[in-house]
Amino acid sequence: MSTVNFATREITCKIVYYGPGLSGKTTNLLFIHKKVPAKHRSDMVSLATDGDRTLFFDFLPLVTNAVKGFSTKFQLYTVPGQVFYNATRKLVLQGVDGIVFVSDSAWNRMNDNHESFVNMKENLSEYGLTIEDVPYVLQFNKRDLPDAAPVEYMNHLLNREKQRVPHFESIAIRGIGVFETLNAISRMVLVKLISELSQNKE
Amino acid sequence: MPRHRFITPDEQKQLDSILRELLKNSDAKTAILLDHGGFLMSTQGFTEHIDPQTIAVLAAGAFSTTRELAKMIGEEEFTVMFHQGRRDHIHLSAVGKDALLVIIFENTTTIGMVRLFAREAAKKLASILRIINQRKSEAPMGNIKLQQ
Ligand SMILES: Nc1nc2c(ncn2[C@@H]2O[C@H](COP(=O)(O)OP(=O)(O)OP(=O)(O)O)[C@@H](O)[C@H]2O)c(=O)[nH]1
Ligand SMILES: [Mg+2]
Repeated sequence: MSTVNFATREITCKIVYYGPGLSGKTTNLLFIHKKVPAKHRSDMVSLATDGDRTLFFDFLPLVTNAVKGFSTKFQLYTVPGQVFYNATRKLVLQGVDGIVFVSDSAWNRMNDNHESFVNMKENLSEYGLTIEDVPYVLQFNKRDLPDAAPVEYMNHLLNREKQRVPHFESIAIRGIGVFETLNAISRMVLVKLISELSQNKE
Repeated sequence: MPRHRFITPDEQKQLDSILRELLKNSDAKTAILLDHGGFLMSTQGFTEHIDPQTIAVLAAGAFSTTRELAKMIGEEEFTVMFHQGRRDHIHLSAVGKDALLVIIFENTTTIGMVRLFAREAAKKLASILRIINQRKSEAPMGNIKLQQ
């Protein structure tokens, strides 16, 4: 749910990075945090285990000037990918406006990618949402791996809903594809918000 | 739940002033109003050295965690949480169905006072939030455009 505050002239949207364990969700946020100038972001909050696995979420707020006359805030979250953290994963989805589905390109993770995608649809349905209600993009991460699955195959596996969505190849540890992904999803979220608002005006 | 939420300048002023009154009456230090998703709706009082947005996100996480815990043991909900420190304490309470109030206070006041005025403020806040949340997206939207 986006919030438009006419007192502070702020629009706030929530973007969630979803995907199986170790696919590189936290790495995306760490790179964004490193590259965005301090005046456009605050500190990143990571609720993680000692071994750096996400336990509850990572949180990184960004401020942009994407909308005329408003300061537009994107709140970026990651979910914990490990299967048994589903209760907290569900909580993070509350009020989501856009999703980046981060998949792992390693051949032996295809099953996990698919399972996580199905799990995402289940968790959305708990909030009365279907995948058609929420703008999302696919990120095929770890393209540097020698055994990376072909992009066509990953699209075949994950990009098979009625509405095909944009996909991005990335190497998040080197920052490749990270901002392309973020720019695409933030634009999709705002375009949807604006179109819903103008429909309601008539 | 509406798809989007609009807050008018007048509503923002009312939310702010209820929190200020709460601080004055209870002698607490900081009051933060947020929704269950961690979205910050108002911050009043002392905010040096603290980041209200981060506090809001963590408080929302803590609250939703305890809510799930409550469900697991068959409780409807824990409506109040209290974290006691040596000097600073945090009081977290539900406001209506989808908002939360975080109050930070020192030993200059008591938990009893904070609880009393938090309850009073929550009622007033909830009635304003109800108006905000029931609003359809017909707000004065005219000029929302993407920057080229
Ligand atoms: N080779 C390679 N490794 C990567 C890439 N991106 C991330 N990694 C590594 O993959 C591991 C897991 O990355 P994280 O970002 O912590 O994964 P996550 O998706 O947040 O995992 P959970 O928090 O458990 O859900 C780390 O060791 C990263 O350095 C990549 O593009 N290529
Ligand atoms: Mg992680």
